[in-house]
Amino acid sequence: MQKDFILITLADDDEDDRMFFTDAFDELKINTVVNTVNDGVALMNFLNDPESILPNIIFLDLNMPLKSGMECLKEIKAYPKFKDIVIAIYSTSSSEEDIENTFVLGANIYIKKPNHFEKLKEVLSEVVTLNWQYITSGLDKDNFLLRM
Amino acid sequence: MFKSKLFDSLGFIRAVFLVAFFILIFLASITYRHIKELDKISDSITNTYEISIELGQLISFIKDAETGHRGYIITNDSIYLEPFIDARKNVNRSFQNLNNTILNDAKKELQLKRIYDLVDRRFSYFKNHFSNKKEFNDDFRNGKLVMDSLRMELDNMLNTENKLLDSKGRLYRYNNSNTPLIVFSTFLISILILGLGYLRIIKNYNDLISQNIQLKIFDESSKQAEILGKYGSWLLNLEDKTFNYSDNQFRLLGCEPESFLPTFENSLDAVHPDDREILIEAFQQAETNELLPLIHYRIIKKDTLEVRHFRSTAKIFVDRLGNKNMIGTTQDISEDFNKTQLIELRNKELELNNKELMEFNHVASHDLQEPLRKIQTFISRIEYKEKDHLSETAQSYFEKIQEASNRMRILIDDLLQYSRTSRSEKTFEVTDLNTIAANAISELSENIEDKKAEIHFEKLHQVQGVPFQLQQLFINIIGNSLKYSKTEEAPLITISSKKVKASKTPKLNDHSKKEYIKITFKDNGLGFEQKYAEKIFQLFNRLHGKKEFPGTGVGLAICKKIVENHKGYIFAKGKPDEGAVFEIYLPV
Repeated sequence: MQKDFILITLADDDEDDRMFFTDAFDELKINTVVNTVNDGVALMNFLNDPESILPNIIFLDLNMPLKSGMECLKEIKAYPKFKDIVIAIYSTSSSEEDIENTFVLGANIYIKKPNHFEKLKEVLSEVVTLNWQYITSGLDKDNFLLRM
Repeated sequence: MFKSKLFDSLGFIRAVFLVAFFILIFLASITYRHIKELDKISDSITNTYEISIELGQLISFIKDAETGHRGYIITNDSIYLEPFIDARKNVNRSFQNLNNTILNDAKKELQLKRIYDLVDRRFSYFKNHFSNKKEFNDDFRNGKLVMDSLRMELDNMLNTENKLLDSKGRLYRYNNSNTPLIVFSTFLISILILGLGYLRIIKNYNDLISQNIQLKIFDESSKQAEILGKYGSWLLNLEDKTFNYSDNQFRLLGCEPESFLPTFENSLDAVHPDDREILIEAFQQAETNELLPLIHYRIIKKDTLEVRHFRSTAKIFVDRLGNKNMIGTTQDISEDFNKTQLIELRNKELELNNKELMEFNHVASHDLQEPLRKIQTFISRIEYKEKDHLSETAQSYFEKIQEASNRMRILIDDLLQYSRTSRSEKTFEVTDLNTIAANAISELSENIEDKKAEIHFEKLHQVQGVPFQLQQLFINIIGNSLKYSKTEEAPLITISSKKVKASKTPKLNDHSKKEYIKITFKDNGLGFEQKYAEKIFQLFNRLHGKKEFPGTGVGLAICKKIVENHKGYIFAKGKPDEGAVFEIYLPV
């Protein structure tokens, strides 16, 4: 089953954004299973729960209450058992500082939330269909920020 | 150096006088010895003369006795007996004198004894009555014999005395002739040495006078320097804890020079009560460390009661007499202190302003964008799903909402770019403007193609700069020219550069010897009126309506900011319908 579906988790405190996200995947018709959590604490609880199946890709919002995306990123990268999870930063901000910091902490790609629903669909399908094994080995700062 | 030289000549003078002193002592002692010796020689000569005279007299007395005796024998007249009796007395007195004169000379005493015996025997032959002729003849004969040997003995003695006199005379003459020479020559040497000493003293004295003059000049100039530099100097005697203040030290404290006798205790009175501990501690430490570290403290001026900020430093030194002193300097740094405080205050304000700007930036980049992004995404949802269900009016309103939200997006983006321009790190590197221009053109290629624009540049200089900022600068200026181009004429933009001297470019207002690279962008576009030349660089400033030329009025403001980041200048020249020229000066 896991071979056929790409498991995706989104951590975002904004209800509208979670809605856009799930709607976009619904319309995309890629074999994905999307679940969403409301903040960083919920994300870490989910990941650390032995019952849960680890996702293939985590979309991580930076600006969240209780535990920020940056903190989650640090924690996830600290555990070897999460080493195969692709981390996509999913943020409104595209400040140099945030891009730099998340890159250094080991995130795989940085996505600036688009202003257009169609654009969002494009971006998400791009990220999900990327050959991550290939990308990860050739990762550098120039292609870290996803430009569409 | 000056000090050791003085000590040397002082030593020299000491040595000269010491030598002269010993020579004079030596001179005095040999003179005294010579005179003593001469005295002795002269005494013994006198003695020899006395002995000779006395011996002569003795023989004459004996002869008197002989003559008297003979006279009496012949005439039997007692008148002749008188000299005979006197002679005996005189002979005895003469012997007495001789005994006193020979002064314990054993040899002479023996001689004298023999003479005395002979005289005695001679007198024993003087008889008034003779019993017979034979006795008379014998006595007479014996008397003559005794007399002869007496004469011989006396001659002998006289001879010895004469010889003695002779040798003593020779010694006397010899000593007499040497003494003046020795005295004179030593005297001459000591005068010579004293003369040398005198010359040296005169020279030192002259040196001291000229050094004194120099010291006075130095003293005067250091007094002026103290007034100008607002500092004073002092000397603290560590034995009795009294200060010696320079005139300006008194003035710094708000007092007339020499108006009081400063001591360690009363000098603390002027110090701000909160800072007295600092001084007391520092001076205590200084006595063990031989050095007063730089201390800062406040004083209250005596005349104006103003609080002033002072700093002092000092060193301990021991003078030639072994007294421990501390030499120090104190400076009134109130002006500097106040300035620094003001700068610190300004810095804090600036930091605060900067922080506020950063916060604003964050708000703009994140919090403002988020609702807008949602609005736009929902717009895109409606457009895709529901647009057909809207009435025509609603559709046109909907488009206006779309346009306005787009505009807002551009504004926020431009604003963000503007604020990032000043915040981004500035690592300057050698940048080739040819590459920058080529990159800018390729970035704008779509736009250039649309407008059929021609852009010329060749052999541009290298500059020190931040490459991505310079590229932004080129893109913005070329983009500006493309945007404000004439519809009937294809845009033509030329970029050139040359090296210029700051001093020969009056509008830079930089009179240093710096050199700048002047980059010129010339176009054939719409141009503008020269009176707006400065306005166009202001944020959100626009010369045209939004409908004609959409834009935010941030592009050229960013250009100005980039140029300022590079410590350069940007100017615009324009004429309506003839085109615009942008001149950028970047320091070499």
